[in-house]
Amino acid sequence: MKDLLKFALVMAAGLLLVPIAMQAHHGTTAYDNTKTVKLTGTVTSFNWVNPHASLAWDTKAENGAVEHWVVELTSPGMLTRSGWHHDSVKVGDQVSVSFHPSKNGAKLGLFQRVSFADGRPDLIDPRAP
Amino acid sequence: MRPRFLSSIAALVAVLCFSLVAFAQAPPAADPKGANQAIYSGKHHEGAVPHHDFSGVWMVAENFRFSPIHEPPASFLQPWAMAKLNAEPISLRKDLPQGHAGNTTALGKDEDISCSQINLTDFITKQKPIEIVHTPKRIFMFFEYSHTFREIWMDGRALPADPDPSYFGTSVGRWDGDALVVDTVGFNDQTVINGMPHSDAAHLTERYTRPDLDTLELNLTASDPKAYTKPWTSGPVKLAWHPDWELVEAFCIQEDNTAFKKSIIDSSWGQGQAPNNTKADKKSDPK
Repeated sequence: MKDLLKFALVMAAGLLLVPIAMQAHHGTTAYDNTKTVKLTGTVTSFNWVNPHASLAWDTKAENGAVEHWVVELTSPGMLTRSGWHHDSVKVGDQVSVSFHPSKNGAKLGLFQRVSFADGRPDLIDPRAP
Repeated sequence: MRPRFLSSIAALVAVLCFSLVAFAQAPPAADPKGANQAIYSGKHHEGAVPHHDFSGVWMVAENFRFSPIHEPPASFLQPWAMAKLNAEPISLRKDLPQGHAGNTTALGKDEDISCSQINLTDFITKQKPIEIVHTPKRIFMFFEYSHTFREIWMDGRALPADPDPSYFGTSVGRWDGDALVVDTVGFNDQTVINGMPHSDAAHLTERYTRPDLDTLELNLTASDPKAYTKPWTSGPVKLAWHPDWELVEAFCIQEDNTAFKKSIIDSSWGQGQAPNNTKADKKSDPK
């Protein structure tokens, strides 16, 4: 009975850990996946190219200075299968972008979600948890 | 008291196990975030596994740079091969087999950012869509990444004794029960096998099985009497079936890769400054 119980506990603990381990494999070392930053601004570019699309925008900082931010997305192929198109985001769009910031403090991130001021539905990265 | 305590623990374990199973079988979430996870794991499909037929679009479900090797490279690499592995840039991941996290970002530096890095094992184990097409004499694997393909001869021919070296080598396949076994020889000296150096005597065996409709499992065995002291194995790599997917064009264009990486690196570090760990990548950038 004792051995059976020990075995059951170990199996349960193992099962609990599996999703955590799988999640870890989708992590990236350059970005802080524990933090999500949301910034609002005006899109300056949306590049639909391999290996990864990228989105850039300008944000007005608290001190009034304009900051330029860039986030990387997944490949155009994976975005296509998630409902994106090459013109899903346009230069001049007013957006709020959520992303995991780079660990080195640069104005750079791993894209998670974009919301549009004009009410279009949000778009997310298929890698977003 | 003790039996009751044990019973309580057992009940808790049972509830935990049941909740996990229930969670695993839950229908796709209405939230698009939940639905998007099917991008990687695939959806569940009912039905019998077709006989000797892997047709369709597949993608590796877990994102790793290389398929995990079952033992340390030092245990099977001959000294010259070990020296070559240690001399290679970071993209060969000296930390194998422990490390295989998918750092697929420009800043992460592990993305196959150079179009000239063409390794068959990368194409079959990276998290990029693959379409398998069966014809009477050949099986084709079309790779979305790089918009290219490999062919597996199924007409009963023997492997060439003296193959002309090439990036993907020459592949001959056969059915072993329900498993597709693919033998490949003739890799050129610009390639690695799952990150490992090799000689012109390298022989890679891929073994594909389909335990259920939605899953393809791949196990690799590599032998090379000139480079390895013994064969080594890797896997399983699990691929998920995506019958509703179509491949899109994704040529590997070096200028696009370089421009993308430059935009990220420049944004990160500013003009004229580069982080130390970009040295390996700079080697592969076209001049």
